[in-house]
Order: sequence, then structure tokens, then C-alpha cells
Amino acid sequence: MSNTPDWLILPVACVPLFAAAPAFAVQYMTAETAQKLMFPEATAFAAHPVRLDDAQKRVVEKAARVRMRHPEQPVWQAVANGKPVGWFVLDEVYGKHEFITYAVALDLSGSVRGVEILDYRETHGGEVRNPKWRAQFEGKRHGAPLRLDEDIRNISGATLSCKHISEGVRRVLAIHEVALK
Amino acid sequence: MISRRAQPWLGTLVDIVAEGADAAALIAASDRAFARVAAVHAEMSFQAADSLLSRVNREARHDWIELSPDLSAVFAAALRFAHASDGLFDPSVAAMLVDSGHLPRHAGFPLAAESDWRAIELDGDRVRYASPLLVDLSGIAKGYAVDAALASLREAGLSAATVNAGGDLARFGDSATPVHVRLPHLPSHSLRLAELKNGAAATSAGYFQPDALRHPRTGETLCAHTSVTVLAGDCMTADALTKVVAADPPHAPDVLARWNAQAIVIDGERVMRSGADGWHDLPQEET
Repeated sequence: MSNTPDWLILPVACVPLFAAAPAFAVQYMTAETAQKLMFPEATAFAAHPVRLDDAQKRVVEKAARVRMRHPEQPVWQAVANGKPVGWFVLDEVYGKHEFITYAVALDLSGSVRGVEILDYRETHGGEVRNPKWRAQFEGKRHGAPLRLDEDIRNISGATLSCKHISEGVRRVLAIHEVALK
Repeated sequence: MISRRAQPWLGTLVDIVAEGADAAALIAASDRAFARVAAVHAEMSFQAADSLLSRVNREARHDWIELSPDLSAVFAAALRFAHASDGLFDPSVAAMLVDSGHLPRHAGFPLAAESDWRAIELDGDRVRYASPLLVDLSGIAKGYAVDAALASLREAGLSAATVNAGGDLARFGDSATPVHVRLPHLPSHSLRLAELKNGAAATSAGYFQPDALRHPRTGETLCAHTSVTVLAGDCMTADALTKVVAADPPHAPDVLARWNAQAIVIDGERVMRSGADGWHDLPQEET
């Protein structure tokens, strides 16, 4: 079989001695851009922040099976030519190593119209199991240029699971049920 | 102009980078690409009780079940990889993962399913199980979804695009871009291990889900402290072959060669690359 396939991939000949990027972060878009992307027909977005009272918070936590850290939720009503067309809910979730800001678009009946990631950040700390392996990079990394968005664009190897986003969307749906209907 | 978006699908984040001249066209193209991913996700999810795959797992023991074009393509590919690797890639290994609680046992699923990919009978676009089975296509469905999304971006006439679904990535374009692979012992860090112009890379590793990958014959946990990256022409092939390499590194180079693919394994402080004559340590270089 030919060694020159019609696609082009070149594995490196040597392993770089330093490992790049002590953190992986991508800023996808602003909330405003996400609003226009998720409700292209909307002519206005009216701020409609939700603040749950204790009873509503308990209902949401029970329905969504997740704890709510804050009783406030930033919400906008998308309006097209004076008529409401849906809700734009801004939310963030964080796990042990990741912090994700995302938006959920709901139609008027409360069905999910879309989920869009705005900002993804990984922060790692305590998971180092091999101090020797780590030590060889610590020194080398110092001074190495770090171009997060350009250089570390293509990471092959599992990103963290989106379990927290699934939980977050469940919570947003429960908030709609108690506060936006 | 570059558009970069991400949405949660396939149990991970799907990141799409699209390059072209017109902003509105980029958004429309990435919308269609995400819609392809969503459609594959809806049909092939093992986790969702109402997916077409779950229906097949409930009913194919008793009767022939009609498949969608996407699902029959993925079943056919799964059997091709299982055959070529003599079962090192095994789509019926799900029974083991259901027993261990890593995958759900939906109502109507057999209580005592076997792992035997040869019991999957595929006839064109319909399928039947010759014995009680649970088929999980997640070993290649993610790669298939990436390829489908990339194909729709290519049809949109963009100059370059990359689709990355939690580490299974594929791209096309005129210039090569670096591909980084996470360190299994320090997944916040990554090594730049390849340049990719047109093609795919997929990595299997245990750092975020320590015992999700099992050997089809022994049930042994794979990739607990290593990572396997396969570079191939398309993402489904790369995705499938990571499982073959993880299960049997010594025999993997033969299978890899058949698909013109290459593998890079990171194991502790060693980085190895597959060649026609076996595995080679990659020397370390000062940069």
C-alpha cells in the first residue's frame, strides 16, 4: 500500500520536550452575539432577570436534581416586532476542572431551541500523579510563548464530558417552569 | 473570516471552526453541520431509550429492523472493523458496560446479553441479532458524526473547516495546522504531535473516564494511564482504530497499515509511534 495517502497528516519526528498550555480556554462569543445567533428573527431583547424565592429555589432543585448556587438567573425575552418569541437564558456551570458559560434558547412553550457555548475554560490543579513527569515540563514551560487560541486549537484527546451542561439545561428548564411561564 | 462555535452533543462538546469569506454563510454552514451531528446523536445514542439504536437493541433479537442510511452505514463500518481486527474492535462489548453500570439498561433490553459481534446480521439497510445482544456504536458514531459534519461544511464551499468532538477531530483546508495530544498523566498539558491538513485524528484515553474502555475479550480496563491517538483519512476510521491499538498494541500496526493510518501512544514518559515494522520510541527534542 502507498505511503502517500491523498490526505495529509504528518506526525512529528520528535517529541517536543515541553508540554504547552497549562490551561485550555476558548472564548466563542459574547452573550449579544449568541442572542442574535439563536434568535435571528428577534428585533429586541428585553432584560428579564429572574430571582427565585426560597420556595421556588427548592422546587427547581428538586425538579432538576441539582443544587442552585445563586437564586438569580440572567434572562432576556426575545421580541420580534413587539411580539415575544422566546427566552434567552445565560448560565454557567463549573466542575472540578472546567468552567463553562453557555446560553439556552427556549421557545415560548419552554422547549429548548438551542444551546450555544460562550466560553470554555479548563483549570487544572490537583490531578498530577507523576511529579517527575511534571517536573520536566515545569522548567521548560517557563518563557515558552503561549498562544492559546491559535496554537492550542486542535486538541485531540477527550474534553471533559458535558454532564454539567446537561444538568444546567435541566435547571434552566425547571426555572422556566416556576418563573417564566 | 473565521467562525468558531461549540454545542453539547454526543456526550461532549462539539467544536466547529469554519473559514470562509462571508460571515452569514459561515453561520449557516455551521448550523447545518451541527444539525448533522444532532441527527446522528439522536439516532445512535445508547443512553437515550428512544433512539433508533435503542429500538434496534430491544427488537432486533426477534425480527429484522429497518435502519436509517446513517445507522446502516455505521453498522456496516462497525462490522468491517470488527472483522478486520478479529474482534479487537467489538460493538457488542456494551453488555459488559451495562453490567458494570457504565451504560444504562433500558426497559426491554435483554437481561443477559452476550458479547458476540458475529451474531449481528446486517442485510443492506436492515439488521437482526442472532443471539441476545446490546450494540453500542459510540466507538465509531462520534467519528462518523464528525465526518458527516465536515462533509456538510465541505459542501458549503468553505475554504477550511475543523470539527472536534471531544478529541475526535477532522479537518480540511489548504494549510496544515498543529494537532495537540493531552498528556495522560497531566491532561491540562498537551504535546504538539502532528500537523493536519486534510484528515482526522482521534484519541482514546482514560483520564476523564477511567474505566470506560474495556478489552472485548478479557474485560480488562484499557488506557488507564496511557493515551492512544490514531491519524487517518477520516474520523470514523481513526476513532475505531484507537480501540484496536488500545486492546492489542503488538498486532495493531498491521491493522493500521490496512487503512493507511498511524498511531501515537503516550505511556508515562514514553511516546511511541507505529510504523510498518512495529513501534518506535519518538526521540525528545529541545525546542
